[in-house]
Amino acid sequence: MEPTQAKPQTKFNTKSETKPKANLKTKKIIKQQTQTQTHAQLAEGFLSNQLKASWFNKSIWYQRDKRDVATKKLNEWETLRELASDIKAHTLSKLDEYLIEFEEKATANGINIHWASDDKEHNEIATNLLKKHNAKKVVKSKSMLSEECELNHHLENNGIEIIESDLGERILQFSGEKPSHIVMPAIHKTKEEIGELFEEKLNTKKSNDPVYLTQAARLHLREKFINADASMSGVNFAVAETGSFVLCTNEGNADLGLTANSKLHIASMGIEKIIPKQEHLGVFVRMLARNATGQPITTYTSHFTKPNKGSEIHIIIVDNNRTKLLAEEKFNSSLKCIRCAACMNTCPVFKNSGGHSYNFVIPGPIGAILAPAHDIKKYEDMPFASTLCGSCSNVCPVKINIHEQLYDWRQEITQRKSSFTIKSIMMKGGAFVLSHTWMYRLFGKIGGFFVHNFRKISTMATPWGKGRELPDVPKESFKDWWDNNAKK
Amino acid sequence: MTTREKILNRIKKGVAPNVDLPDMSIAESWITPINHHDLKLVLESVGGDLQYVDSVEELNYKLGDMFPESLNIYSNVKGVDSNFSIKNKTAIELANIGVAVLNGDFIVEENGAVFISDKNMGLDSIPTITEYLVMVIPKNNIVKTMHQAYKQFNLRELRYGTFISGPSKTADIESTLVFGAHGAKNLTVFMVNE
Ligand code: SF4
Repeated sequence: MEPTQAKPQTKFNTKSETKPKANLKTKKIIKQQTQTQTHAQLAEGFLSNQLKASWFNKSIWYQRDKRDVATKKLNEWETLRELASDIKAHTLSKLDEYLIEFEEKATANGINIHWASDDKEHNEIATNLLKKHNAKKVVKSKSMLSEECELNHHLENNGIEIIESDLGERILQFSGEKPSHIVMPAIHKTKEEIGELFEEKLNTKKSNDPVYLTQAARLHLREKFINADASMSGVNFAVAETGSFVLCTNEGNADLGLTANSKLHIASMGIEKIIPKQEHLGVFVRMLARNATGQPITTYTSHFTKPNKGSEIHIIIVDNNRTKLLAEEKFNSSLKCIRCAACMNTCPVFKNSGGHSYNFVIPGPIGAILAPAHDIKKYEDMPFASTLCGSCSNVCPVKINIHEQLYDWRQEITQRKSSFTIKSIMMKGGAFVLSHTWMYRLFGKIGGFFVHNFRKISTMATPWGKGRELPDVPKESFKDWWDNNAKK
Repeated sequence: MTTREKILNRIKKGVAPNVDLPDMSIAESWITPINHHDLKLVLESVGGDLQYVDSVEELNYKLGDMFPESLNIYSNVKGVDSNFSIKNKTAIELANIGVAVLNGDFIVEENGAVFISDKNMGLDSIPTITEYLVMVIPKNNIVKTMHQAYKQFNLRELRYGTFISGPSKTADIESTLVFGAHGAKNLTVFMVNE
């Protein structure tokens, strides 16, 4: 989708800039990224272009700002969060029942339901359906699940042309990049970069005017919509009691994809997208756009219950590790997520490291707690990409305790890891100290001395201590105080 | 075992705590958000426009002012003339619609969204494929919040229906707001005295 209300502020090409253009390109860095690089290494690459990094930081903060203004207008915001959280939590505890109800109702409405255990099965089902309908040109609106399944790649290998119809996604399809944000997939790209890309791919004149570039994309994609054999999308919400699904976009690309020419629509949904009743939509629709971009609602909030005459609708219900997560007591509430992106817009680490520094398809705080459930080894560094400040949990519309889960994943990862890394040695060292009373006391006293004298030491050694207030350290440690006073 | 059974079995092994569905009646008392009482301002804030007219004659007069006759105009609003027929048209031909004048079901005060159900669209693609969209709503068809909005229709009886809040928009290029991404470039809502 893509969003917003007023003109943003960031003029990227300022005069003070010493090295223009060439300096702005991060393409190289992104292309170099491999699965083996850690978040810290990728963040370092991102930060090596300071000008662009600071511009990115501002763009992300702008989203957070708009969100604050919009949510403050609703007196009932906190009550809405509670309702949303309870509805989702309830649904997760009866997920099988609601999925069966959804399947029954949707089937009665003439929609075909498919089930996929993993990404591979999802891609096969989609490919087979498209082949059966002899569909060669497919338009797709933004779906993070299809990104998760790497669907495009699979379809292209099968000779099917898949066209991303969301403007941001189309830009990334041209540049061969992955989304760096779940609501604004191309937020990391400057208009100059997009202008150059369009010159090359769409033969536009040299321009970095967003209005001109958007119009060029509109014409280019209109032609794709009216010639598409089939369309694809994700699902924002699926309503169990009616068998309907809901899509939210600002561009209208999902609606146009489904209705312009396509005779076959395939919607992919994770098992967690279900909500029980129509009346619950009010809660989520009121929160999603306000929390994502500060809009009171997305421009299009579209409900599909039955296929049109002569058309087919298929829904693929996908597990792909979600049931694994559901069985994790401490972590399963992350399945309540409605993908509003507020947690990444508010995250100090995301703002300063960029969306591509996370190896997982979903970046930011929510990505950092979803990723280890997919593959704890591969994504072991993700929960460490956080300051644990808790801002993510505060803005989350479904009240996921994101920062606590980040902390808990760190514990899990350290425990579950067999290899003896520095981190685990340090953790073990800490545990050893804590389990030996005399050592704990000794370290407490040494620590106290160090903090007392830190101002001097730190300002001598580095500029870090300058301008930073250190807490006053009590003359007695808590342990000493307890021994001397409380026990009396 | 089918994939369906496998997934459902795995879900049964889930350990999500039992939580009751909340009572939604509290939402009935909620009213329009702060500063959202002027529907015209709300619609303008999402890029649209709102006008009040007393009759279809006045509506026709205003439409004549807004759009040149050279545009293809499709209308399914009683008393508003079309110069474009949608019968047997291909998608390519439908993409030539300049203005669509459609009946909206109702409008929502908190966000300026007009709900339009498939029976009011002419064809499903018309609200999004037209260059300019005009929606006509009886003056009293207003609800305050989305909670009330979802009580106005039953999804079961609908094939396709959408809330449209302002013109199509994008901010995918450097967060700059641009109207007319894929859907209508412009949206005017007329509230008509019945
Ligand atoms: S975790 Fe919460 S804040 Fe983050 S994307 Fe999901 S719903 Fe939004």
